[in-house]
Amino acid sequence: MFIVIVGCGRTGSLLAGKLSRSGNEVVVIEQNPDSFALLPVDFSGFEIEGDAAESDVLIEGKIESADLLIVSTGNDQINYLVSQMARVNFDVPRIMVRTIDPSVEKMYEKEERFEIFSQISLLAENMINKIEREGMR
Amino acid sequence: MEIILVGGGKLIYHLAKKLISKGHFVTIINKDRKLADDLAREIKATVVFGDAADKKVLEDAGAYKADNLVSLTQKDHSNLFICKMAMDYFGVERTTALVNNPENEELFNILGITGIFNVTDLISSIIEQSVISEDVSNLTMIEEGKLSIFQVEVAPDSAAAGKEIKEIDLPISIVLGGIVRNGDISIPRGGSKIQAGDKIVIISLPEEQAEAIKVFGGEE
Repeated sequence: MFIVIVGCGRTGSLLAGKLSRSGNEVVVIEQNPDSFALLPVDFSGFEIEGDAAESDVLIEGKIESADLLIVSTGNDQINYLVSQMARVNFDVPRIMVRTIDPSVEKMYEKEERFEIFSQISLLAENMINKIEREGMR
Repeated sequence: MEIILVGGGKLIYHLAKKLISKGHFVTIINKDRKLADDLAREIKATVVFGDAADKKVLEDAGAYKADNLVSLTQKDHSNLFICKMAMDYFGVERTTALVNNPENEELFNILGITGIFNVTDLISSIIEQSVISEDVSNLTMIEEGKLSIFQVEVAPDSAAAGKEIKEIDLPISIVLGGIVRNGDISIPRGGSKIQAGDKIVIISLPEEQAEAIKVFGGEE
């Protein structure tokens, strides 16, 4: 699979490392060049330094041929703009978006192509599941 | 109308004053404490201090009853996000956004933002016109630049100087809105005579602006 990842923070770099190790072709786009240091040494994908909210930068990352885009910057507003650009301007078939503020999820609801991962909701769900499971014991 | 303005600086200040003077109810959201305080002191509007990209702040500003939300920050991602939040969460029907990167204009349009102001294009077209001719000033653009209203000073060597309007060869879609002579304004009729030094207020499609400038402004 050809995967473009926007944002190379802790989440983006972890995903990029694992997905590239499991045989996917990966491109990582990140504005701050220092962040590429978070990628594991065996990362074999491409690194592009630039603002993903600029079409030229997305094009450089070959967004048009991406099977999957993962949008994972730490800014909900940038994540929203980049996901909409990918959907409307570049017709990316599958877009996974990380959200910081759980209340933002609803903004993506109308579009089936978006898959939303709210870290706070996920964490809370995991904890609740564990608490409930342990409660049964 | 109930209007929410997001952003700060001079633009918001003047815009808010104008809207208030026309009888609209204006609420301003600003995330800079000092600017918010200054605005609250100087303008008769409700000022909410906070980040408009936060749902609770929009709620505090009365987004559920707003007719129009105008987002004028320097960041396109903030303007888009705030407008969409107002639409999706509070059912605001009209949203207006400043677009700093011209490439985003179409995207914002597709996403349902009703008013889009492409700053870069607006400013560059105004500068372009003032470079082309010093005697042309752009008064305003209507419907995102689909119609322009501007003013041209009649040059002594222009084809129009000394002629009556009906004698001037003008495309039909160029409308003359006024003649300014020595500070007095008259409404042009077919028999009005144009003199060198007159300032003509013209309403035209942007693509016909150059033609109008050529007729009244004289040879380049």
